[in-house]
Amino acid sequence: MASEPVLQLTAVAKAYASGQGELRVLQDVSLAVRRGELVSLIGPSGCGKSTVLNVIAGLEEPTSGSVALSTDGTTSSDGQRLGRVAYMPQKDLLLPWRTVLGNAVLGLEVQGVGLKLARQRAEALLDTFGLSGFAQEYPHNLSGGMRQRVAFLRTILADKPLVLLDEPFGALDALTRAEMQAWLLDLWAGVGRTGVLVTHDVEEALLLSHRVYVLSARPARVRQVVEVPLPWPRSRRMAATTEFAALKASILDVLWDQAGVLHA
Amino acid sequence: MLKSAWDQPGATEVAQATPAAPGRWRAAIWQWLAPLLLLAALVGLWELLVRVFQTPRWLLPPPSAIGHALAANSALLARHALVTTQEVAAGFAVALATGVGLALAIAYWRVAARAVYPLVIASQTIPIIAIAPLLLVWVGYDLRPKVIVVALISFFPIVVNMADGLRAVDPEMVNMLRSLGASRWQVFRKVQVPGSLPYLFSGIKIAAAASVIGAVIGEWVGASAGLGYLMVQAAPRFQTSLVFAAVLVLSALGIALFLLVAGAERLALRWHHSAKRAKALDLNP
Ligand SMILES: Nc1ncnc2c1ncn2[C@@H]1O[C@H](COP(=O)(O)OP(=O)(O)OP(=O)(O)O)[C@@H](O)[C@H]1O
Ligand SMILES: [Mg+2]
Repeated sequence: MASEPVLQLTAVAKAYASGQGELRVLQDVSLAVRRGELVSLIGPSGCGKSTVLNVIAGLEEPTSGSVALSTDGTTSSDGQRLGRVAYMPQKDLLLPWRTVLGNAVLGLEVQGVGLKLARQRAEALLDTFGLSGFAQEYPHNLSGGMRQRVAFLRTILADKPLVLLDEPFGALDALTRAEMQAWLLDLWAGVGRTGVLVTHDVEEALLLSHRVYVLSARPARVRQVVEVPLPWPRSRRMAATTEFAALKASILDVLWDQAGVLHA
Repeated sequence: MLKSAWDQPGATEVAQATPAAPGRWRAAIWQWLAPLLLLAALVGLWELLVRVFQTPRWLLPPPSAIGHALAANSALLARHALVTTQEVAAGFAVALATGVGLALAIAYWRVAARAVYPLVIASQTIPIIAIAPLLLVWVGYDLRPKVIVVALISFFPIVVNMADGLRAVDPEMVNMLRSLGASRWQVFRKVQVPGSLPYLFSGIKIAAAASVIGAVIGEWVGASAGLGYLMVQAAPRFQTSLVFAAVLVLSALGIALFLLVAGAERLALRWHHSAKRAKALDLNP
C-alpha cells in the first residue's frame, strides 16, 4: 500500500453560532487517510461525526485547523473541495421526482457526462447493487434498504477517488446489514477506492476498516486511534477471534467512558 | 414480513401500488357520476318548481328555456365567448410570468422578500371592482384593462404558492447536489424547480378559476364585447334566459381552463401523483 495521504485533517475545530453563544461541535480532530485505505469514525451519537464529513466534503469550512485533499496530485484546501469527493449522506436524499436510474446518474450529469453514457454506466451496475428491474421505479415505491442502495450507487457513480459514507447501513436490520457489509468488502476490493466510514457499530468499524478513530462526546476530539491488524481480505468469521474481541472491548471501553456508562 | 434476499430484489420490496382494477374503475365512474346525478336532480327540481308556481320567465326562466336561449343564440354567445377567452388567456399569461418572476425574487433575494412580499399581500386587499373603472380611464376602453384585472386577480395565488414551494426545498438535498459539484444554476434546475412545481400547479389551479371572474368584472365596468358585456346588455331588457346562458358558457370556460391545467399537471408531475396514491393506500390498506 502506498503511503501517500489522500486526505489530511489537522487540528480541525468547528463551531456554529447558536442563540446567545456558539455551539462547539468539533474541538480537535486530526486524521489521515492514505490511498486505498478505508478508515472509520466512531463516536457517541450527536458528537459531530456527520460534521466531520461535511467539512471534508467542503460543505462547511473549519473554524480553525486545516483540511488538505490531494486526490489527483493537486492539493485543494479551503473553498475548493466541493465536487471532489463522493459523499453519501446519512439520509438517502433521493430526488422523489426522479426514477432510480435518474437518481443514480445525478453525479455524472452534474459533471456534464452525456445522459446516454451516464445511463449505460448506471445500468451496468444495477445488478451489483441489487436494483435490477427497478431502474424505472420512483423512490417512494422502494423499501428503505433499496433506497440506501440507490444512494450508494449514486455515490459510487460520482466516480471520485475518495468516498465518504455516513452510516450507510444505519437503517437496516441486523441480517441485511451483515449482507451489506460483506457486499461492501467485495465491492471495495473491486473498485479500489479510498474511504471514510461513519458508523456507531464497533464490529462494523473493525470489520470494514484499516483504522478506527474513536471520537469523544461533543465537542469531538479524537480519543483513540486503533490500527486494525486483521488480514485482508476480511470476512465476517474474523469477528469470532479473541484478537477481535479484545479490540472491540478496548474501543467500547473508551466509548462507554465517554458516555459515562461505567461510572453510573 | 419476510425480507427478500439482498441480491434478488423480490416483488415484496415494492409497495403494491395498484388495487384491484374493477374496484378502481367503479370508484372513477362514481367520482364523475355522483356530481352529475346531483346536478340533474337539482335542474329537474328547478324545472318542476318554476312550472308549478308559474314563475314569469323574466324573473326565473326554467332550465328548458335557458337551453333554448343557448341554442338560439349560439353564434352570438360564441362570438362574445371568444373575446372573454382572449382576455382570460392574455391576463393569465401575464399573471403566470409576473407571478413566477416575483416568486423567484422573493425566494432568492432577501431585499425583495422584505419589500415586495408585504406589498403583494396588500395588493389583495384592494377591491378590484373599485379600481376596474379607473383602469378604463387610465388605459383605455379596449382589451387591456380586462387583461390587467384578470392578471391582478390571478397572480396572487401563483406568487404565494410558488414562493412557498421554492422555500420548502430541503436544504440537505441542495447540499447533496453541491457536494456532487453542482453549480447554483444546476441546483436550481435539478432540485428547486422540480421541487416547487407541485406548489406552482396548486397556485395555477386557483388562479385559473379566479381569472374568469376577473374577465367578467373587467367587462362589467365597461366593454363593447365579451360575455360580461352580453349579460349587462341582456339583464335590463329582461332577457333573463340569455343571462343564464352566458353564465353557463362562462362556467364551462372556467371548467375547461381548470381541466387544461389539471391535465398539464398530471403530465408534468407523474411522480407526484403516484406518490400520493402510494401514500393514500398506505393509510387505508
Ligand atoms: N449547520 C449546523 N448549524 C448548527 N448546528 C449544527 C449544524 N450541523 C450540526 N449541528 C449540530 O452539531 C452537533 C453534531 O451534529 P452531527 O450531525 O455532526 O452529529 P453526529 O455525530 O453525526 O450525530 P448522529 O449520531 O445523530 O448522526 C449537533 O448538536 C447538531 O445539532
Ligand atoms: Mg450523523
